[in-house]
Amino acid sequence: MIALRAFIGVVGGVEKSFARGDAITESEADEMNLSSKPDIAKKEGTRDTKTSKT
Amino acid sequence: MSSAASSQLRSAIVAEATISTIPATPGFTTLHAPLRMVGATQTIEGRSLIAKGGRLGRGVNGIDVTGALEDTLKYGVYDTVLETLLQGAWASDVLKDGKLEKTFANENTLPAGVGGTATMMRFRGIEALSGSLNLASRTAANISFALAGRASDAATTTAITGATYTDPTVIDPLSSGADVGTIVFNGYTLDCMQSLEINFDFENRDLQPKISSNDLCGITRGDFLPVLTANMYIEANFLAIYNAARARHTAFSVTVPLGSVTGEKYTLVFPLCHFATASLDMTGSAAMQNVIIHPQYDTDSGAVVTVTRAIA
Repeated sequence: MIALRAFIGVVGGVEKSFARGDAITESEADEMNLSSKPDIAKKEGTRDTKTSKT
Repeated sequence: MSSAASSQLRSAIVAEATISTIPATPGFTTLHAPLRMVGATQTIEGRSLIAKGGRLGRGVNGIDVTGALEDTLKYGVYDTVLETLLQGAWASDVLKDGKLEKTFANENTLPAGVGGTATMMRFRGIEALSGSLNLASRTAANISFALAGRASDAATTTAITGATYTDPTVIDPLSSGADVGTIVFNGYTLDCMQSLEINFDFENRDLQPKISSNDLCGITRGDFLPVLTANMYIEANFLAIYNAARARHTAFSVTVPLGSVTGEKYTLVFPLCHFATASLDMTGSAAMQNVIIHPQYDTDSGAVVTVTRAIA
């Protein structure tokens, strides 16, 4: 997944900072349940609805 | 090691789906201003003849969770807190007062000294019991909330698995100047307004302690009795309000638009209001009219106040 904005996530019990555009591994995304947090991360290759043209 | 500074605090909130339960893998939003939560232990102070009347023994009756939040109003940042204050839920960007139990959890994280281990204090089942929005000329739009929670956890250095923390996107405070639209008392032409304070007051918002626990059973819903206080300069139109307040008068609506950025505006509407008083104040250099308004329940909207957000 790709971070849509900067955020801090708890991964492996430790806080990790993500910057906008950072790649997030599948295991990290699963641990942070990012699939339910579409405002902060999206799957790679998917369109960002906030910036894509309609 | 230098001691921690209060500015090193990270104060974060997340709405609760289940009351008093921090969601799994919570998506916290950090705040610009600290949520000053306190878990005050209510102790039993033992006294004993064994100690010749002195203290001996200690017990815990419960832990009261209270707090406060004061900040300049920033669009969208406090929408979760507003839900708990008005006991309603945002629906299509509209929030009306009601009797829902909306709660959020708070995590305050502070390093144990500079460079020290991050230590978390967590509070659950939090609601705003009252609040105010203060608009005064030449100052920021200020909000404040009095808070109470149902439960608290022991301080810990263990982070919540999978938690995320995002900063609010809006950083600019709203002013009481250009960021406030035209305030309308429907049916009245208003003189210049120096200030408007909206107090979201409740009666009987009481804590419900219970046995077998340090935590609360809940918090009573209370009675919503907001009060609007407007200070207006004496100009051509003060007479109408002055005389209306002296007598039986037709109810009117009050509309307060907030914000000047497209899509980042609120409108507060109190659809059914009466003047309580409209006294004159000659204590300062400018003669002022102090108008107190009592909003009422409006059967058409089913609410005392309606807040709309994301207005273009």
